[in-house]
Amino acid sequence: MVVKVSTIQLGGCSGCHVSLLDVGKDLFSDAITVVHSYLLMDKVTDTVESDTDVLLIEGAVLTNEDEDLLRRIAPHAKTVLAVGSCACFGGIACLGNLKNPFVTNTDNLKDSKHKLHPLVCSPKAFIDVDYYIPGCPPPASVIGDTILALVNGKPVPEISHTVCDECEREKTHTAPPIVPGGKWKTTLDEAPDPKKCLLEQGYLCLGRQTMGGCNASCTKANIACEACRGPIFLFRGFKKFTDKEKKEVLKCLK
Amino acid sequence: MSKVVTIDNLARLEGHASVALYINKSGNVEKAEYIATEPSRGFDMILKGKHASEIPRLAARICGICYTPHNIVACKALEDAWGTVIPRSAKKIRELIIYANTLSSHALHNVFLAGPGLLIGGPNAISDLKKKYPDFLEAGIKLRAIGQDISEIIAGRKVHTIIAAPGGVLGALSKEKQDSIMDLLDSADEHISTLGEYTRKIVSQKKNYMLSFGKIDTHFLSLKQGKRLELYDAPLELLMKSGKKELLTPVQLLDRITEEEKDYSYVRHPYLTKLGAEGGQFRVGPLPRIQNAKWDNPYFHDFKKNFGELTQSTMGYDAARIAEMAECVREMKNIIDSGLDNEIKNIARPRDGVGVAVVEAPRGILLHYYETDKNGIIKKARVIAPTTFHQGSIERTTFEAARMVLKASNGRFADEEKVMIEQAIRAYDPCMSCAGATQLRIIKREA
Repeated sequence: MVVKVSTIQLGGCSGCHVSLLDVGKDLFSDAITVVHSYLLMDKVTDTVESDTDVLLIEGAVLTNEDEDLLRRIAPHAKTVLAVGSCACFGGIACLGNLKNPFVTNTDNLKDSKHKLHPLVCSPKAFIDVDYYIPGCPPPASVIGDTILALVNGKPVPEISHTVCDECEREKTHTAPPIVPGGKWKTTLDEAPDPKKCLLEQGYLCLGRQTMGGCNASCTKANIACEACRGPIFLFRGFKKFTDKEKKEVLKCLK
Repeated sequence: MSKVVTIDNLARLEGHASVALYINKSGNVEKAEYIATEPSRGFDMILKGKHASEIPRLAARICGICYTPHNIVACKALEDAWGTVIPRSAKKIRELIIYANTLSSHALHNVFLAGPGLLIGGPNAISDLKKKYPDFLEAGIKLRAIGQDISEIIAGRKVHTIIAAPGGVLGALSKEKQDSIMDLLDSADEHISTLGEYTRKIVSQKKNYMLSFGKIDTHFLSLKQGKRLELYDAPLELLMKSGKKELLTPVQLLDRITEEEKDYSYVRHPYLTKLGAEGGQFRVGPLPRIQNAKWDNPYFHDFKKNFGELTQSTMGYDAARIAEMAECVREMKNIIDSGLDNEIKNIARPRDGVGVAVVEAPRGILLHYYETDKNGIIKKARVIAPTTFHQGSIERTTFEAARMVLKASNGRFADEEKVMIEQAIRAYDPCMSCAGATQLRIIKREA
């Protein structure tokens, strides 16, 4: 059986599509056919409305057209995946909401369908999402594993450990030092010691709370974790307290 | 009354854009509009008020393909504002990762985006690519992977690398890491020659098409090129149509351009103020870079042989990229051979200041501008991306290409014609999420 995969991009940076390409050869195998993708199609046609097995969504809802597109496509997809932090939580795109920069003069814009949405939000405000793959962008291995699991009809791997669990730096498991003036060290200061725990050195590393699966790639490269994969408890936490189906729980959370 | 036809959602380019063509009664194209429908995310407002230490990593998120230049130019601009100097090795690591990013971005474009159209053409190009030219696809996937893997070795991750910080870079490059980069680079040459052979074939078989399709005449802007491919640190060079050259600083560039707002697009159209909207358009990217370079690789010599010293051929962009890929690999080897040490970061001390910097992203000149206060809080941010500079040129190219295509098809406008017009636009490798990063029409908020 050939699994039909579609990808769409809302307001985003294409980084998740690039990460999807990093999956490499598996993506071009005979078991998968890409039926719709801005990046990998000759012509963006209405085939997107035909049945698709797996729909990958990148980006947050920024324009009215984005909302229409979601409402049109999602019912035709068997499984909907939100790929990347913008599609999962709103991400960078939603930072715009905080400061209200979108007091823009889009009334001048000839074409009304491209007008900005009143509130930038993640796709889950309009459609049901089956699986979330957070990250900015999510590591290719995680996207690949999820797609392959769906292709082979296996359960999608759920990650229940933190970045800190994956990080191999030396930890004393003490509280971070209190820096004079109560300030954290930043990237403006000297480069951190490559072996010791970043948090214990006084850098604001968010790895202790952040969902793992990225193999602690940033802390390995001497960069403090910026929590791009979001908090861990949002995803695994509710499972512990209820025997309800995941879909139902997510519905309640919405 | 002219008829309007559109190509909605251009395929195989980064982000969202469409084209509107105005066709008069006699079937001639009167006007073309290149419409950036990519919703702007308003990065100038997102960055404003943030602490400078957060800027490089937020700026990287402007684009999912050329994240590295965004990350690095943000640091460069902040360093310019504060007078911070960076260690020698930090500069080398920054150059290394820009070359790696350029290599993978060009491979992505030449193989996945532009390649199918040039090799096969027609409305089913990409689905036929796997069947007809598996070696081309294979070489592209591998070459792209090499660029991405080098980024991963340096910065820990493949996409949205955030290794650069004001004052240098955060991680040193150990001997083992250098060795594994060298191993990757050694395997790159064979893939480049595979792609190079295909480029050669395309240029020789479709010479007329490559030279004249969508041709327009503009000025050119790039970093000053010499014997090596300069992407990080060199003065800006403006090359006029006439062949006259002029060196500029980033500040002078900002003074000389006007950004015109259009009522149909999210992106403004910049041009040289003195020469006006028509005559003042300039192009950036691989074509300007190759114009007065003196590199030494077979693809560069091929390019000069086929296109001449100063060329205005739009499709020359696609041919210039292969020469740059070869140059990227060579320069990365040179940097590692020259030796890297562990001194990679100076402390950056914020002060009240204005900083502006440029680097060469894969698609051309990328400019960041920041004003900070004495604590390092951003007061004003501005980003002008390569595709922003290209808006006017793309529009004119679309017009020229549409005229040629519709003339040949006797006014028929079906899928084949649409695909051909798209191919001319694709030569610029437009990146709409960069272009719309900050070019939002913002009206002042009522207090």
